[in-house]
Amino acid sequence: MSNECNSRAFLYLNLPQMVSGMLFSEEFDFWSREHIVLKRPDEADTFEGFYEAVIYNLSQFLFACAGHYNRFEQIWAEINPMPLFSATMQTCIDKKMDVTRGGARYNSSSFSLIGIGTFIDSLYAIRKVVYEERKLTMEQMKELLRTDFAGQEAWRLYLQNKVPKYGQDDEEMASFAGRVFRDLAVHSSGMPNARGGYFEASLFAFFFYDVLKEHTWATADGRHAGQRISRGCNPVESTKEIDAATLMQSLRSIDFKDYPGCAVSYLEMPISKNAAGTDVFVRILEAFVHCGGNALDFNVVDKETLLQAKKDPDNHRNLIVRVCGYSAPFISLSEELQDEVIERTMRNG
Amino acid sequence: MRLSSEPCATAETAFITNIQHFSLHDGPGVRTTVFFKGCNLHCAWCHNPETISSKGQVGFDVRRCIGCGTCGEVCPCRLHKMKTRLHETDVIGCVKKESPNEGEDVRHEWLRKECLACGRCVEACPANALELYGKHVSLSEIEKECMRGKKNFPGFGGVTFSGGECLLQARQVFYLASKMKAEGISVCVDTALHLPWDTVEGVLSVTDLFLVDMKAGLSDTHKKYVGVSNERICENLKRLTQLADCWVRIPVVHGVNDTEEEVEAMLNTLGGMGERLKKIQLLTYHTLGEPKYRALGTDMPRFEAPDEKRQEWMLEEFRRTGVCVEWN
Repeated sequence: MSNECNSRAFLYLNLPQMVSGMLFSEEFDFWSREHIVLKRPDEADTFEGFYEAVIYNLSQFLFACAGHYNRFEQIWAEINPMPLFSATMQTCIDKKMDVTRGGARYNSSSFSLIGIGTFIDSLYAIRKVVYEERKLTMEQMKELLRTDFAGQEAWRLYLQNKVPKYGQDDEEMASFAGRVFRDLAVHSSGMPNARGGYFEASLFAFFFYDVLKEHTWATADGRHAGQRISRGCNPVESTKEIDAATLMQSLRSIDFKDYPGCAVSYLEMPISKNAAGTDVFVRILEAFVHCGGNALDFNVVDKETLLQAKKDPDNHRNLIVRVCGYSAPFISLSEELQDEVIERTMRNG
Repeated sequence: MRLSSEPCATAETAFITNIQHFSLHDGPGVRTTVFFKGCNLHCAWCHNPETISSKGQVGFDVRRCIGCGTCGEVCPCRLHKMKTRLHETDVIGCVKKESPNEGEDVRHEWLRKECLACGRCVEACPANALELYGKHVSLSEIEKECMRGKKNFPGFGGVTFSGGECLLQARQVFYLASKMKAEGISVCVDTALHLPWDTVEGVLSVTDLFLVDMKAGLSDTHKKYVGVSNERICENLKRLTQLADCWVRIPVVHGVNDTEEEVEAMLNTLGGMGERLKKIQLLTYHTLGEPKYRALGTDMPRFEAPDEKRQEWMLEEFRRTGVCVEWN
């Protein structure tokens, strides 16, 4: 029997958009609404100063969120007590206490951080191009982002293709990514909640990475406004040269013990008639565990089947795909999400 | 060529196109494959055309080009030009793109013939429309990359040296393979055996498995489609199967080597090879190399894959050798 009541999936924090919120703070009122005195990252002289400001602002924001959530959690027991659920847990019975009051042994809460791949790439692009190579000033970079790279396709492609990306084989990048993962874990966990437990860091998004993309402005990694942001703890989709091996390698830079609230990796396995069979899966799973991975989402489908299913849903009612964190009948997905799943299978082919 | 047991200096480089991790089609298990550049055969159906020439080459993907002109600025020979209209005749890879400046068309013109493949434009191109085929990579760096598989994959299958014809750089293969052996990593050498026997013999001691490519059974067919006759290859194969474990791999192209005479001839060669011929892999012809042909500015010669009936028939025929046969 389980003895855990983890409260999650109530706040999805779009990391890349938080950076936009800091660079263009005049356009967003949530800082003042939360009484946060913003440290302006764009005024920093060094990348260290920039990075510190970003992390500081994020931690202030997350602290405010934890406060809001805890106020709700305090009245949880009055509004929605859970006697049946509580009856399944030994400590609830022993303590004669509902789960909503903290009857379970483990009473954690967690925020979901979304788009960490895009977040890492964007910060790294600013570090490289603005602070190290000095090819752009901070103002020029902000102008590119504000205008969504209008008329500056060469710059957008430069940022997308010529700056190292998280997941690629680049030692400097790997150590930077490890640092971001670590810092985000530190600042999104540890706060006490109202049930006697603590906040734990987590990195999962179900399908929210797809919902949120429309509201995400252009990012410094060369991503257009409205384009997809990264999933779970995966590298960005448009990153070149990401295969199963590189994905595993990228896991090594992360200490997943920092993310007890779950950090999901996604991997699409293209299936073909001549595929190498189940042995491949065994090897991948072995490698995943060996490299210290936390949760792995497989999708095993071929593109043709999905394209057909999209055209002819009636005959594909039982086609189940792993969306992210859960599985669903393919035909039940929105057209946009269907296209997204189709595109994923094409990527690793 | 006799190879000394002393590995060559680590400062030496190998000329390679790519190192592929998590490779499932180059020998047993999940492997890391190193593709050497340069080949002494010219199979008409080659699906890795960028590995044929032993010189560096630049590939150009017109569809990615945005006509920004960055390549022209860095080219030491001034071979890339952005023109507002089509120019000259001796030009490959023209593209019509919307220029960053509104209302103006830009065409990317490139004198490929004069290209030295220095790679500067490749480095500069923001759109990744240019790609460099062939890099001189130091052996210690390749070694490090190959070791990575062992670090990340508990069930790592090993390293495969492929190409092109990797044994044209036998010294490098020998050095890398001996390093792998010292770490207990399995080594496959993927070769077409169109080489002096001494060269093959040189890497025997550090190779666990040879993947021998067989193109055709009849000498005439071989000459027609590959450019040379196959006597030396068959002779080497016979010797090799006495001394080392081998898989024979046959890319099957419809109308070329799936005819009855062809299959008969191949069976004659393969029959009685002995126990060290462990497997025969039949590989279906495919057209996945087409983008690379296009990038190199040439058309891909068109062939057809054998249909399912033909595949089944060939499977039956090759089973007569008593060796394990599979389609891959």
